[in-house]
Amino acid sequence: MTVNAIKDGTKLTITAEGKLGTTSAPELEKAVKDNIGGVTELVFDFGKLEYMASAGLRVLLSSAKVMKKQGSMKIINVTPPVMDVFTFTGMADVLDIEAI
Amino acid sequence: MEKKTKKLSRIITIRLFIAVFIAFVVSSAVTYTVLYISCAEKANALLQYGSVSLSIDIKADTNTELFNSFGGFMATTYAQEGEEAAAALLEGSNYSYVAKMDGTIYLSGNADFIGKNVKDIEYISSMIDSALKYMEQNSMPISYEMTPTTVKTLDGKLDVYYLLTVSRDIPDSGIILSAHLPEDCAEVALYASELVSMNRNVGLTGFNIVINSDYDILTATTFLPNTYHTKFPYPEILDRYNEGTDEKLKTFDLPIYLDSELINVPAKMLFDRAVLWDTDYFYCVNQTFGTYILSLYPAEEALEQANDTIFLIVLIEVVVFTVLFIVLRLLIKRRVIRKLNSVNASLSAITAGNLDEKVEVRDSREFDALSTDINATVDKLKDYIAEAAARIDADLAVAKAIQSSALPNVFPPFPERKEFELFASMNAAKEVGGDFYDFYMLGDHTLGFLIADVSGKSIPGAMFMMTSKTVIKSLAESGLPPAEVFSIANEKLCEGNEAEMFVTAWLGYLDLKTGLVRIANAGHNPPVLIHGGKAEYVILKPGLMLAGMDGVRYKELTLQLEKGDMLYLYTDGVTEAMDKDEEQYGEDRLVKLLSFGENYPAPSAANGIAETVCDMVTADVTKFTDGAEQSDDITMLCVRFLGGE
Repeated sequence: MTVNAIKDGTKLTITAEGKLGTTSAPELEKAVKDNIGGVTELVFDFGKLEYMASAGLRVLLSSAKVMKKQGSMKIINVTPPVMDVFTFTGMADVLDIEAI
Repeated sequence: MEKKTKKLSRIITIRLFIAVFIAFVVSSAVTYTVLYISCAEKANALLQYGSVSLSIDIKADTNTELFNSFGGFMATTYAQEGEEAAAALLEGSNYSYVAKMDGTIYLSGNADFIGKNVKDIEYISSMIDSALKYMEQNSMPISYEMTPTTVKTLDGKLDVYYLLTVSRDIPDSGIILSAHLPEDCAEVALYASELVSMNRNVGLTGFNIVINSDYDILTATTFLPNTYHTKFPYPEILDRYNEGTDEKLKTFDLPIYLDSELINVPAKMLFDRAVLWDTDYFYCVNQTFGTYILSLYPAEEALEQANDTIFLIVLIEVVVFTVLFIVLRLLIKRRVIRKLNSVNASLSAITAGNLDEKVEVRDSREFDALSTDINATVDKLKDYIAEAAARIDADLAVAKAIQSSALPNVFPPFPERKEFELFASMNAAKEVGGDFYDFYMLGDHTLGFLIADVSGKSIPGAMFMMTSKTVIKSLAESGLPPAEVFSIANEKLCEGNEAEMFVTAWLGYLDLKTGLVRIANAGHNPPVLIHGGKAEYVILKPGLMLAGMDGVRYKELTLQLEKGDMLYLYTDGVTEAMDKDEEQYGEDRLVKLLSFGENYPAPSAANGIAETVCDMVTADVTKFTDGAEQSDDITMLCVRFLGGE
């Protein structure tokens, strides 16, 4: 999986491409941790993300907890298989998620 | 900006080249300087030799002239005409005498000197002995010598040159001493030097010229046409000589033997180099009896050898230093750089993961030590890694033990209850995924059952699993409805959840009289409802997984079961089981497998169809994965409603 972090002022956009599983979740976690300082708007662009496992959910949940204090967070361009995971885990109701 | 580190061979090549180049330049410069000095000194020696021998010849010729004009004349007159005639010749001259062999003067132009001894005059004594010796050895009747320098007259008033003539023709083998003033000698010398200096070469292309005290050139030489009797055009040179303090003026002693007695006569010569008459010369200035002798030696000839030698030496040096450079560079490349690259290659292999790679560069002590040290370090690392791995394995074993001991595994759990069939299984993966199931009687006619999937792994995951299971069970057994159980459990599990783990869970209360199932779903996979041979997923709006975020309220959902219906609960270890091509088992396969249609599986002895269904799925998943490593726990729970009383 490849992760890219683009900072634009206080807005941070993180894209993930490939499969977000147990081995690749730490990479996403690091990208968030390294760049989240001073960010008021956090956007996850999952347009190229094929697959999400529970390890990925954990990173999103902890990011949401941080952003609850700093600003806002949303997940955009979510593909159907990933959307299913969000729906079945109830994340769709709790987080700001937009389908592709 | 990133600084690119240069290759060692490049750094060394450049430094080596600079060093060799400097060495070459320095040694060439030193060689040239040494050669130049050597040639200059040789030129000066040549000039000095020529000048000295010329001045000796001039002196000799002058002596001869003086002898001819006076000493010999006196001797002949005395011998042929007697004492009176000789005495007459002495009239008017104060300092010329005739003396006996013992030195006493008996003839003089000045009566004051009669009776005095000529041997009191400097050098005379030795000169007498020398002259006598010469006469004897060569059977000559007469001999003459000149004092090497001016000497004081007997009354000390004048400095004169004395010409000593010894003659056997004079009674008592008499001594004739004639005094000559330096200026008179100079006049005689001029004549001598004109003749003597002609065509006297210095080296091949050098020559001498004689200049008188008026600075007129007295030599006719083919090297300087049309200069005879012209004024010397570089008077400053002679002035420097006369002035006596120039740094290039050398005063040294010329050794002269006088009757085996070595006497040193001081000589003064000026050595220098200048462009005279459009030619670059090494020159030296000497003086004899007031005439200047200028010896000239062209620098071209003097340095010719030097230049040739330098050219040859530079050529040799270029070759030698080039070879040296190449050899050194080759040596360094072979002995150091290649070895370093070899070590680096081995290190790369080790970094790439091959910890059994050994560095074996041992052809010098330093590399031998390096290889040994690196290998020892890697071995140490391997030991640490093995130790760490062993510890992890130990941890996993403990976690697995916790997990398996926590789950109820006695089936059937409530054998006296005929209203339902229940079976559950959990096959742990190596990495211990933290799945669990649970079931309990809640009151007399309600069966609570639960399946859950913890996100954490190993011991932390196992412990979180224990906590969640206990919390949910105690809340359920206290009589709370499922939604509220989850709401409260969620709060409790969010507390102190530093590791940020969460757990998906599906909790159902089955009313054994009515078949109604009250459900709370915290983000878990939808179970399969098997009704009349048809299987379909029970999609109920889920709440967020437990311990994900606090403040979440769960809603109760319901499902009505008919007699014979089955609910099959599972974790994603079933649907996400992968075969060797990393293809997932999937929801479709599961629901298809559970669509029995007409062909209901045979019930097992103890737990009915519930157990058979579980075994079926387990078998199918195993067949599907076919040897690929199990990545997640495979957990399932199947409950069948057999109808109320």
